[in-house]
Amino acid sequence: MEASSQQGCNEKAGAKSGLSILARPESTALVGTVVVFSFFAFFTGHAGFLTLPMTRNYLEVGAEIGIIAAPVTLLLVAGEFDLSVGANVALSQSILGYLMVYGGWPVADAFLAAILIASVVGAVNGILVVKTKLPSFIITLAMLFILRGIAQGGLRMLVGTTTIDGVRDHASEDRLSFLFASSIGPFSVSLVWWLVVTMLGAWVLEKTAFGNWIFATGGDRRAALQLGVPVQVVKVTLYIAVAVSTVFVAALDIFAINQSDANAATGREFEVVTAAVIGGALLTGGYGSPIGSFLGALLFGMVEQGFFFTPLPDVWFMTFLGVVLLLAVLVNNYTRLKALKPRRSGDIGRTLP
Amino acid sequence: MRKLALAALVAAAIWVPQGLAFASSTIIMVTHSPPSDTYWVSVIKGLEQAGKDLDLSVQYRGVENNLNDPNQQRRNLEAAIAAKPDGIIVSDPTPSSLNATIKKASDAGIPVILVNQGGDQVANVGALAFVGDDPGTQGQMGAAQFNSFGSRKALIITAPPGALPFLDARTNGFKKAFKGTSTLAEIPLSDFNNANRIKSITESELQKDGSIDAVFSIGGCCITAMMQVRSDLGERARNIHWGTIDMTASAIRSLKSGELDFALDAQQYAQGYYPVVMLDLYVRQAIRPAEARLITGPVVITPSNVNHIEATGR
Repeated sequence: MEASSQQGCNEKAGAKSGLSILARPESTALVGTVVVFSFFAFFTGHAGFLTLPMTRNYLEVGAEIGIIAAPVTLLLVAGEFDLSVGANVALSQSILGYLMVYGGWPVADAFLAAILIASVVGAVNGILVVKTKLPSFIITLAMLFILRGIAQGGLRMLVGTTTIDGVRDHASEDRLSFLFASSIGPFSVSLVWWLVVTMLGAWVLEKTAFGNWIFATGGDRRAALQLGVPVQVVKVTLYIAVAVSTVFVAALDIFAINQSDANAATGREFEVVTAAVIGGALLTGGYGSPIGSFLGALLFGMVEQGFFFTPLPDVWFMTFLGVVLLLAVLVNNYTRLKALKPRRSGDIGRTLP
Repeated sequence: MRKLALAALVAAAIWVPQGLAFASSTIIMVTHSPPSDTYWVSVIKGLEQAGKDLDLSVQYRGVENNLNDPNQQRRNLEAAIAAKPDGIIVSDPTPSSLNATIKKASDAGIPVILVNQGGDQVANVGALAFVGDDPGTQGQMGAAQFNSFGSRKALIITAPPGALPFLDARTNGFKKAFKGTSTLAEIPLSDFNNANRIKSITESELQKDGSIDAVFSIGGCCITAMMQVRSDLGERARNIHWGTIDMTASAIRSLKSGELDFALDAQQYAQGYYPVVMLDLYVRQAIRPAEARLITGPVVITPSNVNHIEATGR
């Protein structure tokens, strides 16, 4: 795929017709999100879906996924995967909880230590991927097991259990705990982090030279190298960014629930990628949008919370989730194809896969 | 697109009447367990039967895939409060994480019954009562059975210590009451649904130590695998006593054939049923349970009294 196709297409197509605005990846995700929201608002609004606490709840779920989904989207655009994010959340929770509760560290110190360790993990992921040229799927899957094991084994060795209770209580005196524990109006502070990370991701991808390098890396690697794009640096940097984002989610989690858990965030790696794909990202690389992933994560959150108010028995949740996700992706795909249908002969070269 | 819209309309037509029925409904159970868990399937059956018998609408909401996800349980609890039901039944496995939210429910005037876990938290959260069992007692009763057989060396099939608090309580209860010595066959939590892994871990432990004369499965997870170990062992199996916590279809079969010496039945079906009765009495007649704790089990099931259970089909 042509390296700069997404940007080129967006700029030119935007001027041509109203429908073409849907050519941006995030616009198609918007359709799916609005459909899902309307569905729950209409059918379960009277049961409580539209109340403020529930809105707060699904924004919390969205943030847990979305804060990681933003950097993961950039990584997907660069053509790589990271399956170790869920385990990394659990490891970061364990590190933060242990240092604060047993080590007596202030929030800031514990947080920086966790960031440092996560950066090392991300760098190892990235360097292994670029040096061995093995599929990142395999390398980060191995990392998933390694990190999950370290979290479980480490906590058990250090404190005898795999959970640490009372983390928030312990840190309540700390000046910096408001960064992860406070509310903004009726909403959790995680919403702010989610918005900031998404904006940052979108800005980097669309407005900076580094963003162009990411597109180039995931588009045509050989062309990118010939143009002097430091492909390896791009990938390692993105792996580090992804790992660091998991520390933010870990911190928000343990302050929200007052507990660190080495078994936390099981399966988060797939939720994150799903959010990115709903948001328009392609698993083959070269195409994606952090804003789209934001909407994908939001959709995920609404489905999880909305299901509570449906009359369906709990055992059907997985099926329900699967069907909704499938519909969302189908709707997105349909809208994208409609929006990108060439209307003039000159457009043909810009049709996206 | 048109087809999709049509499908949505059809779905709406089916859904709306049910949605309205739910709006008038009443009792929600929020727990820390996925609904597919073998132990909880029975709790949910009890809950649903109580709903039918008392003509109430009941609903179960667990967590998805992890026996310990207090974050999701808290959100479900908040959703339950927002739905303004007539009563909430909630498990309390991590009081430091959940008590504040449970208290929100009782403060909002919704009667709360604690179920399964949190027996010592009734007063802290303003609940009417606790319905459940005590994991420590389960372990002790298991040990008492093996003591009566004269067993000297026990192998406990369980999770690594520290992985799940209630399994630790069962193991510790067992160790405290058992007169002989005991070792663990440690099953990683991620393998709890993998009967083959459980079997091979247990068999290696038996291989290592020829003096083991008692094998105890810590819960419903490991019964099928344990009985497979028994049949693989051949002659040696006859000199070993076999027991378990929890009652499953597999346990009933093995009790009937005499291969399993005993199973401790938590009778958790009653943990689904009693809370609904309590809440219904409270809502209609303002009747409060006088005792803070209603213990549903365990009772000891042996080959001599298993037939009665089998007849109930639960």
